[in-house]
Amino acid sequence: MTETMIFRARKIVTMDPNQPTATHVAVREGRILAVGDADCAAQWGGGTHDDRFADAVLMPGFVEGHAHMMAGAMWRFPYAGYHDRLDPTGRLWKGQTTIEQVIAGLKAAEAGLPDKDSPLFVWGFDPIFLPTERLNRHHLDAVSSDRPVVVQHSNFHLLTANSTALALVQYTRDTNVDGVAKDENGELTGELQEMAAMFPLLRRLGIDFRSTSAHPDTIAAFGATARMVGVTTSTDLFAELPDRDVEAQLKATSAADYPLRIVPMLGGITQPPREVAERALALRKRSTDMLRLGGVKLVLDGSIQGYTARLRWPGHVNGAPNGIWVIAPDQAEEMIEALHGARIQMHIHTNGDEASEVAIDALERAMVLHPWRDHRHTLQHGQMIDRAMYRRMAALGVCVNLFANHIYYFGEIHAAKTIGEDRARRMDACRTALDEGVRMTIHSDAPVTPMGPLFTAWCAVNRLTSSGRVLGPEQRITVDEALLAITLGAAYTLKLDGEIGSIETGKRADFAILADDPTEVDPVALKDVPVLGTVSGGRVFLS
Amino acid sequence: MTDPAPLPVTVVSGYLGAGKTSLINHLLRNAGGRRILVLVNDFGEINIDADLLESAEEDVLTLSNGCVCCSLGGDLYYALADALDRRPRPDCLVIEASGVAQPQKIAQAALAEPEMRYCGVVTLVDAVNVGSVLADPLIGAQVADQITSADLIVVTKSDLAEPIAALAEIDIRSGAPVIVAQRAEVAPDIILDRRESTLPATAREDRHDHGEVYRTWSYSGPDRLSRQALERLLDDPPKGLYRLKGFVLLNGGGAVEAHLVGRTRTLENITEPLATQVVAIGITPKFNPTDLDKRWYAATSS
Repeated sequence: MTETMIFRARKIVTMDPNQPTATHVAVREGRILAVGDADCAAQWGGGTHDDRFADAVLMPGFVEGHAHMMAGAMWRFPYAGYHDRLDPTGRLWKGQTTIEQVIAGLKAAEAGLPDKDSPLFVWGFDPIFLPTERLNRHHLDAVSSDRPVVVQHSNFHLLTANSTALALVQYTRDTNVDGVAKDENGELTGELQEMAAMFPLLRRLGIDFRSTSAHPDTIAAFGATARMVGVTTSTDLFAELPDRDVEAQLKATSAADYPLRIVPMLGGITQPPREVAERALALRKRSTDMLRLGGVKLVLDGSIQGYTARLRWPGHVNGAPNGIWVIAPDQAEEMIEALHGARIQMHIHTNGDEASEVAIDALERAMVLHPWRDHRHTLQHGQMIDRAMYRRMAALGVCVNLFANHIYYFGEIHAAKTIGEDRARRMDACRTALDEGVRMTIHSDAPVTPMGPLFTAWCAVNRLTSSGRVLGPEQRITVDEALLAITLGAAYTLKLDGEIGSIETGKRADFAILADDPTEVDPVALKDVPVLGTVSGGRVFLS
Repeated sequence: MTDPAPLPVTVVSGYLGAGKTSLINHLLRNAGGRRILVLVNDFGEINIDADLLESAEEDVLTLSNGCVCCSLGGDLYYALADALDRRPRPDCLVIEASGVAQPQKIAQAALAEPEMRYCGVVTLVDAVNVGSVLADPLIGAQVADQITSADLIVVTKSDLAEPIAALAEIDIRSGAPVIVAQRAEVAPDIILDRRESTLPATAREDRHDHGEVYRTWSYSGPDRLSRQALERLLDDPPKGLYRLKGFVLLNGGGAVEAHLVGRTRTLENITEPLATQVVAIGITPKFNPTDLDKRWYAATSS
């Protein structure tokens, strides 16, 4: 007879309207056998009781609908950011709020390096929060003049390097390349802006985030990052997925001690539609329970804070020109039609409202040409979608995954500099999406912002910016709505809502183990509910 | 082991349908002894005769003339790194930019990387639809940017539409030399350089008239220039001059290796060669080698 475990909890928040709360859940063969009280499995012959979680609260394992495998890879390097962050081992990296702290952190990290030549690379630095002088190469020369020292900024578009690193790429005051920054005297500041200027240095330092997605350490770190915040299923929402990566991920996710179901989305950028479709269909056949392949990610525009999102009138409030298309709207239309016609689910990156509109137009056209009702195509970020667009999306069955974390991290910048007060107040419009009947979830885009569904839910519930004001109170949603968004809401956008996202008989035994009840705490404390670990397919992973 | 010489990088840009793939097919078939590595977006559009094809793998075509064609894939920079790591290193690299790519960004990558040498942005402009594309509120600005960023412009499909309107659109946005063509079959000698630090054979020939499209100019001799005079010449080149490459002896000793493509020049100190050797290529009818003669003479005597 197969073993049955019966977990007892202080409370189980099931997200199943048939039985919203319970105290026990019985697990067999990695799935939920029964939910209810201590006798819930009696009909099935009972089982072994496990009271480890008797003081904890269980929820369905959280589902992160938009994150990247790189979230794990970054922790190979020391963190130098402004906000506190936890690494996958659970170590707290304190935020560094002055240049002096950043330098002190670098010196400490430098002292720990094995030999004199190996480079010092740190990440997460954010100069906009530092009111003093801008970080330059002289600060970093003071850390080391022997080895290359590189500080990658949090947005991944900038870095600051010391003189040794600049010499490695032969940059001098005579270098005439966009992005190799110089001061008023024409001397290098050490700041390198955008990939063209950064890449020669990253290449020479051997920092290659591509090769990491097949690396067991990266996959392990991604799993640990997710486990610490209660996530049992996460997307890797732009993956090249060569066979080498697929094989490495199949192997890693099938290990008995791997806690995360990964849903990689094949990135389709410049390849022709038929190639993308063929590859996606071939990948779908290789899916396992813990690695779900077959979806495609498309990217239409850039980012709002980078002024590269495609905006409708009246554009940027500071007068910056409109952003850029990553693929031409005509090509996007062709790709969307081809993939929809091949019944391949799409997750489409659209930050600006013009990009969202182009995507909705293309989806509508594809749906006229090829009937397929339950496609669940999802606009990713969708930060500027307005009410009228939500009505169209509802009519078409298009879902949205909103970037709620932006309200906290970038809300003030959006109000002041990018899109202006009015549109900032209604950005990431969770309330409107739900009111208009659009299937909705919310995300972190880790490592752009830290993964943490309870934090993301807190952002959607409170809409507090980093300076503490409520940005667009009308767009706040309730705690129950936010918890639904980070469980069944995200599962729906991945077509996994029949298997995960709620605690009910037949579903996968995926749980988040919490020290408090998120439905009972003060909504402004939602982000502070401690996560003790997860259960994935009945296997317990404590942090 | 010494590092291989820098890899010359040519960027082919242009909106959808302008003829980028036709140009690349043409370059691969007429490589003229160069081992070209091409990075393309649409692998399926590359048509190579069976007799020229050595092997075809999932994302790599290898040709019997030494050329290789690869799918650009999702990330330009990793593709560039792979190109640099190839051994033997190709003679030149051609990158097909996507229809909405910002070619100057790719150009910047070639300028920033010490192991690459920038060899120009060639933008193809479709004479039939350039007007409507530039007027499109969604993509007009990005297509205009491709014209503004070009070092050389090729107007295609001039047999299907009078090129006058296209030339007018180009003229308000760019001073780059323009080739008017029917198909995008530009001679490889115009847009491709070689990696070797020797000069091509044309350096030892006199000027040539290559049909109606381009003309070459060369000098080989004892002339010495001041660095300032050379910089002035390269910063304000004669009309229609597209590329210039050479070893130039300097007044008072020393020498530089000079490269000019469009408006971008680089000068690098080298040990003195036996003689000054310069070769240049320009687009007719604007380019007149006599103009460069005059400018060269003025530069040597300043």
